Amino acid sequence: MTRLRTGPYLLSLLLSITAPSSITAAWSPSELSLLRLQWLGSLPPLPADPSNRVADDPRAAEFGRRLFFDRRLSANGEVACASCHIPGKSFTDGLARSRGVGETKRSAPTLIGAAYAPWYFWDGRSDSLWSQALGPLESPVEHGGNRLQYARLIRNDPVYSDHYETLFGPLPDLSDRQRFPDGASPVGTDAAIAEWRGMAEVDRKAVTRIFVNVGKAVAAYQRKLVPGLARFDRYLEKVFQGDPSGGGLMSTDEVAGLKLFVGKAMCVTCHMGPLFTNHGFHNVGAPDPAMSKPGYRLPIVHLFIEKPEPDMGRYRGVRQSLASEFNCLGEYSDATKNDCSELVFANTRHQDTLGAFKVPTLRNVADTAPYMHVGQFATLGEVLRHYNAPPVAPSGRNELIPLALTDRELNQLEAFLHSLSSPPAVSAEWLQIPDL
Amino acid sequence: MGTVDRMKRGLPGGLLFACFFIAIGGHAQPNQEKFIVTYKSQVEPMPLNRIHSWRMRVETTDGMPVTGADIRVDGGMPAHGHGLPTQPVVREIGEGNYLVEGLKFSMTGYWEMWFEIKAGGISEKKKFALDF
Repeated sequence: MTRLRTGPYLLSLLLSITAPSSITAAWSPSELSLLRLQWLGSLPPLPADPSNRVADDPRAAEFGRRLFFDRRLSANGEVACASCHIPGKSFTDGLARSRGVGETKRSAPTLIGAAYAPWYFWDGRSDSLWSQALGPLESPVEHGGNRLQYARLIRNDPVYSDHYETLFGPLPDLSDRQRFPDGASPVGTDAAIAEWRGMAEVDRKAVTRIFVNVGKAVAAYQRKLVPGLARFDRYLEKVFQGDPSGGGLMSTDEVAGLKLFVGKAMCVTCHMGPLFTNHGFHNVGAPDPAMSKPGYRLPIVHLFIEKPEPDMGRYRGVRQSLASEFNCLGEYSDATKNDCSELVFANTRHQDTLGAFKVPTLRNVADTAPYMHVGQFATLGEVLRHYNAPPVAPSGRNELIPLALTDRELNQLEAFLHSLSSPPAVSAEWLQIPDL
Repeated sequence: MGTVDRMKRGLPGGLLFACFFIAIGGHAQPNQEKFIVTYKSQVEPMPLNRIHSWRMRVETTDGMPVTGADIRVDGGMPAHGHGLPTQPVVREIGEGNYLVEGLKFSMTGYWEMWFEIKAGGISEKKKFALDF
């Protein structure tokens, strides 16, 4: 046992002899400025969400936590938000295409730090955390249910109706099946939509208001999921305190990777700030699975089978957000027009949006494989090789610039990305199913 | 520096947030200049990745304010081949002053801003460079 325990010490002694200058990296003043911007200590307080008046109400967060883990919020009683946003997997699911009641088109992103973003979904088709939460609930391949079903659940569950009424006021009576027919839904089959349209407008709005408030409570919960300090942050703390070795908290390769990240590899251009994202949309030419199918480019094939539609990304997403009844300017938002500048000034131009997808956070990236919007790459190594030699984009124009990094440098970048993992900075009770 | 557009350098230091303005002449030669355009960010230092406004002033070469100008704004990062993350809007606030609303610079690096100004049957394109 004694001999085994000395192993790590001998190794670190050996490293300190062979590569001391690399571990105690000399950071230039400009690099230190960049590093300070990436450091979690630079993360500002969570911005207010004026579109959600209960965003920071602790009672809403508690209500939202219950909803987040509740599988009854689905068509088959088996899918909760937490089914694809699994706390133990940094709120992702490890799948290329997430699975609810069916298979989705995209990969579930992490929720850690999501409350800082101005846009949600890979294509930014929602402009608030609460409106994002509503999308999967009515998606036929995710939760698969509908707003009337969820409104009834809130109305009929005594715990939920208590929570709800404390926050949002009295719930309407939904028991009249003539006014509120079970099969009515604004999404789904033609029959369901027809039934929904047959309802009185005031009743449709009453149901939608409950549905919206479910989203607002779930958002209040998600706002708790802010990132905790990663090894990278602790390393930087030491560096800023004047310890050039950063307390030995990062390996030689990790430090070299960090140097590349803020330098030659230009990752920091988009993955900037303490959340390692500029929250923007960029075309990085990731392969489009629809266009990778055999015969996609052979017109004759499409005489027999339908040609798959390429994923237009932000081009479509921005149009959906502008048209959404749940956007910042809509009647269910609590914001004023002045609070909605991201939506008001959203760029819709073809050349800036086609094939662009949201820049994801890189915090916890080592734990959130596979990567890109459809999990096109299984490993970080594959992602980095893509960035090193960017291909022609399947749609629009690839913004990436070839990097010509060596294999060793790519490995160093990958090593660095492993220093960004940390659980959210909340107590454990927020990460598990509450006692119902 | 500054001979063409006489840009106001209203941005104090701060290593990254400082913008190093480079007057690069736009499309008009100095001796063909038709309008003098100055601008100042309403938020200083000019913020990275945050929506903000610029106050812009348009004058004739002899210093008279230009009112009623039709101003189109565009911009982007030539190295990456993309435009602005937002679509800014220009509105007149009087006496040759205009407000450019909805500006956002979402990445570090070299940006260009283009303004097309039309007034009194005269048109001129201006190009400003910003380095975040």
